[in-house]
Amino acid sequence: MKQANRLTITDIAPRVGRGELRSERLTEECLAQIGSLNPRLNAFITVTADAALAAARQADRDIAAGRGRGALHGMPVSLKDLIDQEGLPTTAGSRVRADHVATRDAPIVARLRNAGVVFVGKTNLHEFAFGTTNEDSGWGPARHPQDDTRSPGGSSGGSAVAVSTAMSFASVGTDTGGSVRIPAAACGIIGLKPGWNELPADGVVPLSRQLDHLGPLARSVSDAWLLYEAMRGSPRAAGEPLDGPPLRGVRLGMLGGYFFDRMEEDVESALRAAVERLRSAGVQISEVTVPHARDIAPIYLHLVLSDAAAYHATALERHGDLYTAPVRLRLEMGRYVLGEDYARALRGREVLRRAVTQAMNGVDALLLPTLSIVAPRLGQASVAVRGGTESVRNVMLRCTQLFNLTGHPAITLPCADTPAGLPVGLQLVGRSNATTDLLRLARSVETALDYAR
Amino acid sequence: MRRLTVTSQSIYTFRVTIAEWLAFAKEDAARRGLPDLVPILDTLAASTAALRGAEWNDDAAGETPDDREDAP
Repeated sequence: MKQANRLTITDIAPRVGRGELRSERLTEECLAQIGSLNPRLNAFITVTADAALAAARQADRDIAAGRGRGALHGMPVSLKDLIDQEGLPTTAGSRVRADHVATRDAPIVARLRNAGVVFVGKTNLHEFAFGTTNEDSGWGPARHPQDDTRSPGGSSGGSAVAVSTAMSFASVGTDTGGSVRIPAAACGIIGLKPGWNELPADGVVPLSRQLDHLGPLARSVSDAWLLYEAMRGSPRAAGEPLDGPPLRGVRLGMLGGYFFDRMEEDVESALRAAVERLRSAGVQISEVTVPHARDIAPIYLHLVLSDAAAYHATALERHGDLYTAPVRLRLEMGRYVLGEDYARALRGREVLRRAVTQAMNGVDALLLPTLSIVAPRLGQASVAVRGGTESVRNVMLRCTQLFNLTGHPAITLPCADTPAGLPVGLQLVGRSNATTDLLRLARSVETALDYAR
Repeated sequence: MRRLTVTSQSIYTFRVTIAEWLAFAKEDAARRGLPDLVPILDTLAASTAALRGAEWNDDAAGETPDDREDAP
């Protein structure tokens, strides 16, 4: 999907920093987009127009007075509505939390605020982040910007819609099994899951504390880097570049087998064409395997079900009828996982972590699809792929959940559109504790793929 | 509060095979007024069977685990 508005923070930050472009105008334009598109796309649960405009005007005054805070100063950004922003509800997409009001900013929100970000609102999500489509939300489904009969992916679906339609320049989501990367891929934008525990998750409603990762959704790799750095507490200057390495000689290990065997043909064709473009740019691509890949889904399921059930047990007893039916049933299912099976899953997680680390020997990063299918229709429960039928949820998690289990950083980049015009995402996975290296590589790959131009 | 009403029969006959666990779970879900949960418990049971069948599972009567990073 070639977006109507591809302006990036990286593009305009120098102009904002010089006072040539005002934050107030950028914010007004985002709010106008929200006013125009949100009734149809349902990307936002809460819009903070007055506060955003006030913050934007203050940013303009500060910049004019020589008190600029870097590349994000004055930039309109949205937050997935399970991240606390002081004075606002954190609904987590659920009527269970309809009366909640955050008493303080989550640490990552405070860091973004210190970097001068203008918060325009809280975005829709799959209830409690427990789903891949965003259709089970207490506030109704978010809808795909290109085809509103389709899901934008989830759980951070509202964030992906907001960024891809210029309702905000970037957004912050969470990713427990792919919930940043899946909607980013479905909507044709960048989604970064940093390495495990790099960003503090305090003030964020958990799904599984051992698998949850915060991460940015953005229109460019450089923009994702700017948000990532600011959320780490190191905001970057306007105009400071994210330099990628030359691609000639870069070695990528392409994961095949399990990660390709449920792919729609149009998605696979688009992805393989992108791989050939990278080869033409000088990238050395070899096939690598991750042993025990068929055990990924059972390991993931037993961990996420148990962790979520433990967090929700009391609320299920008291307010079970306030959950959407599918999410309630999934949470209730988690209450039947036995302790010995949870322990097996913890053991399996370590086996997979070692397998991915070993798969990266001799390569700079791993390459695989992000999503095996295009954005599914709202209400679609299963999908026919390669002569079989799979649940939409299982197929959407197939290529992403492994790296929540192992903690390796991963990023999705749009690489092509299918003949029907729906975006396809390519995923890169970096070494542990090397998220910045992954971002640099992704910057070079983004240039070679030339998706947005 | 959730009412714990395990029958005396289930206390004495429940074992941790997947089939018996699944039967117990379905019975419990129905008793708790969650009939829609009953069929999807089959999904969990299939996943649990796959988990228990994974070749990396430890066996106390077998080899000692080798969890070094460089282990094959």
